[in-house]
Amino acid sequence: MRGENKVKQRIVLSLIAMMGSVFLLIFASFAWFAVSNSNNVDGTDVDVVNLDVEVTLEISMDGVTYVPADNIAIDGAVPGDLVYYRISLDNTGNVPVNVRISLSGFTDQAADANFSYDDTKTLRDVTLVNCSNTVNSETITGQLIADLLPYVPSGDYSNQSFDLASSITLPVSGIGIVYFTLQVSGNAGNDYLNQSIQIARLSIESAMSS
Amino acid sequence: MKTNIRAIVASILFMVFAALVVVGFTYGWFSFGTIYTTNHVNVGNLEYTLSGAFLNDNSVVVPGEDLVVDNFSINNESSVSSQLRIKITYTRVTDVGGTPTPEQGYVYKGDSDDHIAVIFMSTFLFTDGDATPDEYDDDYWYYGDYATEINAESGVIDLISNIHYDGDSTSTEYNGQTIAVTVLIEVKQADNVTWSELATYNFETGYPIA
Repeated sequence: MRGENKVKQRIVLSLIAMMGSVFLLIFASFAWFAVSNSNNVDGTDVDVVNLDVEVTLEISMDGVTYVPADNIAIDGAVPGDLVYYRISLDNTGNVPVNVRISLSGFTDQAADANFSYDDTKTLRDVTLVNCSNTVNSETITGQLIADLLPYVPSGDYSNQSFDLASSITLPVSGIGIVYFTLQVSGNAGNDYLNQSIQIARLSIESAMSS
Repeated sequence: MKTNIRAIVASILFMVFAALVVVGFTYGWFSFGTIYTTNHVNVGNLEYTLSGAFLNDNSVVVPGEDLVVDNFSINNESSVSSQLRIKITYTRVTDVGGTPTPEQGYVYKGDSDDHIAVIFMSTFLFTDGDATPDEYDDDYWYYGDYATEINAESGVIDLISNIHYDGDSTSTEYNGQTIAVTVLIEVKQADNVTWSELATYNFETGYPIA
C-alpha cells in the first residue's frame, strides 16, 4: 500500500515536471520567434527560421496590363464580362514554403440596395472561375463557384471556401504567380440583374515546406 | 508490477500528446498569412422610368388624328450600358374582294404598305443587322441601330411623339372596324443576354360608341 502511494507520487511529480518542461519549451520558442532572425551566442550566428512571403494582388481588364488591387472588386458587370487577377508570391524568408490560396465566405445581396433583385438566384451559379499558376500544374478551368463549393442544403455559404491553389511550393527566394479570372457567364440572363456576391476573404496562407 | 507498467504507458502517452501540442504550436508559429477582405462581384442593373400615353381606349379617331397624347419617353437610370428596341403593331384593314378584311398585329415597318405613320423623336432603325429574312428580331425598331449601346445613366431618351392612321392609305374599309395599336418597348443589357419586355402600351377603339 505504501509502495503504491510512492509510485503514484512519482508519477504525479513526473507529470508536473513534464508539463513544466513543455511550457518552458513553448515560451522559449515563442521568445525566439518574437525577437529576431538571428541570435548571437558566444560570437556564433545561429540562424532562426524566418517565414516571409511577399504577396501582391493585381487586376487587369484585358489580361495584359495589370495594376495593383486592394481586393477583388467587380462592379456593374454584365454577362460575359471577364476580369483578370494575378497574385505574385515572393518567398523572401529563409525556408521553403507551401502556399495555399483560397476564397471563403460567400453571401448574396443586392448590388444596389435601392433596387430589388431576384433572391432565388445567386451569382454563385453563373460566376466562372479559371485559375493557373507558374509553379505547378494545379488548375481550375471554367468552373462555376457553385461547383467549387461543397453543397450546403441550408443555402448559407458564409462559412464555405474553395482553394484557388492548394499547395504551391516555393524555395527560398522562389517566385510564383497565380493567375485567376472571374467571369459572369454569358448565359446569365436578366434574372441576375442587380445581384451581388460578397466574398469575405481572399486568403494567402504559407507554411514551412516539410 | 502491473501498476508500474500502467504508469509508464500513461507517461509515454502523455509525452506523445505533449509533443503533438508542441508541434502544433510550432507549426502555428511557422505559418504566415495575407488576407484580402471585402471582395465582391456585382452585376449591373437595368432601371428605366417610363412616361407617355395613348388616347383613352374607345376614343373615336379619324385619319390623321394623333393617337399619342403624351409623348413616349424613358429615363435611363441603369448602372450598365443597355440597348433598346420598339415594336409597333396595329390593325390594318384592307379590301379583299370587296370585303373589308382586318389584319391584327400588323407590324409597322415604315414602308408604303403601312396604314399608319409614326414620328420618332430619336433615331431608330428597322433592322436587326443580319440578312436573314422573316426573323422575329426583324420586326423591331432599334434605338440608333441594332448595335447601339446606351450608356449607363444616360438620362431621358425621347421615343415617339405621334402615331396616326394615314389618310392617304386608309379609306372607308375602316368603317365599323375595331382597331388596336400596340407599342412594345424592350431592353437588354448590352452584351449576351436576351431581350426582355420593359413596357407595352395599347390603344384600342371601335366603331363610334353610342
